[in-house]
Amino acid sequence: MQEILRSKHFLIPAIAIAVLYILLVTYLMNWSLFKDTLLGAYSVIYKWRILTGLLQGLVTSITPFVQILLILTALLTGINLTLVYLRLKAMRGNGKLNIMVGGSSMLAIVGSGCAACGLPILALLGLSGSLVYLPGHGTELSVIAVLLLLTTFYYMIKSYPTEQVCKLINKA
Amino acid sequence: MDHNQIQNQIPPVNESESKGVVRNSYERMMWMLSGSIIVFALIIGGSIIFAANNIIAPRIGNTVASSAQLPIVESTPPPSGPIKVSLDNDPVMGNKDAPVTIIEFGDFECPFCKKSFEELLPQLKRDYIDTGKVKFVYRDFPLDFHENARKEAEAAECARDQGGDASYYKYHDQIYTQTESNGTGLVLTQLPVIAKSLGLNTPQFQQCLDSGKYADEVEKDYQDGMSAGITGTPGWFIGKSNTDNTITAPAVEGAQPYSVFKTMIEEQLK
Repeated sequence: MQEILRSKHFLIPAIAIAVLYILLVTYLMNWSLFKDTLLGAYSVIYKWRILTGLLQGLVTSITPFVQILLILTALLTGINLTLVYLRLKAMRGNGKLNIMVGGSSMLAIVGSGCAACGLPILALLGLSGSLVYLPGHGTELSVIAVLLLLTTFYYMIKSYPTEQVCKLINKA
Repeated sequence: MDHNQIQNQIPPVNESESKGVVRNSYERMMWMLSGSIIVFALIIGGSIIFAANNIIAPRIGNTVASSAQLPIVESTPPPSGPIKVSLDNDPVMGNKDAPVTIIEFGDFECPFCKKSFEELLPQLKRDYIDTGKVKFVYRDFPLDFHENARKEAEAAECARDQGGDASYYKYHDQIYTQTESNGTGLVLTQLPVIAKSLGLNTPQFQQCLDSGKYADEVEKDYQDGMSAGITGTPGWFIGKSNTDNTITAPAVEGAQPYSVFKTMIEEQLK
């Protein structure tokens, strides 16, 4: 298992997905400005400055606790999705196991793609304001997402086919 | 050890046992999947219910109207891209004929508004407002869970009532300086004390505050912010000043760094 987690086939896509996740969250939080910047008739320098400025805004516009949650969620999303992909690749065509893999893939997608993105998705639906009525003003969604992602990560690691052999069970 | 000896050491696994292992794993996965979907559904469902009952029902004065009586205004996604926003009759800081306007939709009890007041506004004042290039307009967007924000917004309007825009911004500065920005970061009994310290007529100020003279004005700002797609504070619009007292600009949400503002202002000044 450690070999898989250290391999470049795992690390590169996991980190890439984590970075993409952070970019997605950053720009969804300022969708109006992001869209105007990308589609507007502005210079490349302007677009670059606004897009990088919004990334800096992650430090100034959210609390340190939420920053930690965001980074955790991004990393766990990257790890989970990469594990799902590697597992699907390794077990493709393996009859009933496909159902199990499909189940954990779905779980990872539900855990990462939906609950973790709760705020931006709700914001796009026009419902983000409702989060202010939750005791933690929406931080709950991030905490739930991290827990879901940790759970899926744990189960995927636990059931990952680490060796391509059948082990003997010594009953002596 | 020959092949037969190895074979003998392997415990026999009957078909029902192997099916059971697969079934248990499958069931465990399905259980987790179902649980996740349920949690997700509860989050979305809960948000929709909260939204329907608390946020999306437009308010009249200080009361929340029933969503059954009035049309839902936030059931559609907030507008994206540039939007026309009015300066209304709200207080202006800086040159009234400045070519660029910044509108802030703010909440006196919002910690990120306080952060913007402390870190961003001084830089904007130094580089753009005091040099006549930009005018700054503060509009109220008191969030409902910030208990004292609405009254503080009304108090600033009462200060303006006596001393105009300059008086408004002196009061505005004092609120942000003194509040801890946690919803009730400034006790309401402090409001007339601030008025007195700024040399305002305290009884007149108190009467203005008690009568709720500016409650509708604050509410109008809030509704305008909602219509403009503001979902949290601080919310900003930076655009070229129009002759019809409006600007057309995309919303900028949150306590963004000075570099974002500088880039947008410079673009508008071209």
